[in-house]
Amino acid sequence: MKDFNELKQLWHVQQEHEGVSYDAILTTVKQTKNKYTTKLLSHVISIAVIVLITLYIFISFRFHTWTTLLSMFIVITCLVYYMLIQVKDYRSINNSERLLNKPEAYIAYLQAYKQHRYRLNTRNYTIYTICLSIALGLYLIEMSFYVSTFALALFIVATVVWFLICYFVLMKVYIKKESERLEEMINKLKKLEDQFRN
Amino acid sequence: MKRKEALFKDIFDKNNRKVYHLCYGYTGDSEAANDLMQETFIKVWQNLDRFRNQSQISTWIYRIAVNTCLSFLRVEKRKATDEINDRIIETKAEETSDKQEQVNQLYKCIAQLEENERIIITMVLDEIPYQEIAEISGISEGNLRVKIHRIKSKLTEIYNRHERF
Repeated sequence: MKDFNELKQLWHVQQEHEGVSYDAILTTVKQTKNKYTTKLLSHVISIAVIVLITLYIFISFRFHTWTTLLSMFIVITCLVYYMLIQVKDYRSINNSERLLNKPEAYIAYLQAYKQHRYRLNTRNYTIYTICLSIALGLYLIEMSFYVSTFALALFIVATVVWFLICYFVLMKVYIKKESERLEEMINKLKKLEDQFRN
Repeated sequence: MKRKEALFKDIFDKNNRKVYHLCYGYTGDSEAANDLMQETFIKVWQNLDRFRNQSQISTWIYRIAVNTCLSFLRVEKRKATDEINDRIIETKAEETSDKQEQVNQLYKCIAQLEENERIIITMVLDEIPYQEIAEISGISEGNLRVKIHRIKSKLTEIYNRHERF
């Protein structure tokens, strides 16, 4: 049987750990960013590239119908919107000031952030898909001048099937998985918040 | 830059041991503790210019360490932690001294406490003043004393239960 003071003495005889060194941390700081921000950054860069390519097409090619121009405008707006949201989140997660908050406030921030990301990945993504579908539909009007009716019909059917699969299968699976994960995470954060409440 | 690096080195040397204990106590896993400690000090480096002496630098670092630990949200953590600890204790039992084995057992017992209890008790074991613990955890000092009393009894009971077997 040990009392708490004996546990405390035991605590102080523990070996020095040979883990992370000061140099290793400085090297990490200089070389890399954490995984999450790197992932977000790569998203932002790939979207920026697509926006630039779309802008190039918009400027260099001559289109015959206004619907195609509208379609490209919708695509660019969607991409820019998506990119701005990603940049905003990237900056928010990199803003370490919140780390200096009291744990209770920090947990509340984490909860709000996770819920925001969930909304972005589900509801906003639906709106984004709908806008892209409209843009594609508008482009089909121009396409109808150049390709045969059969090819056009085939393209429309393939596109509609792809969007239906995305919406009713992939999206549903994704939302289900995300909401389960989020619920578990939020419950855990709520549990933590209760623990730190006075 | 050189001055900042020298300051950072000084801060690291003075605080890394206790931050590691906090992270190890929270995760119950030395590898995860190393990751969290590294993450904590990266954030300390990134925010060093923002430190304005409103509190002690150690309090400021612990606050970052606590919040970094709280962001560590592996759902399967508790189960995985126990498995890892069992494995660590089994494989290292022969290599480590008897005392170190008891320390490993103590970490395993801390891992069975609630998250905030783990954070508070590792700071108590490291003899951080109550006033500082209260400031770090955002809990009033009066309330903290009651909590500490309860956690001490709980940890001692868990440890003695394990020692009997």
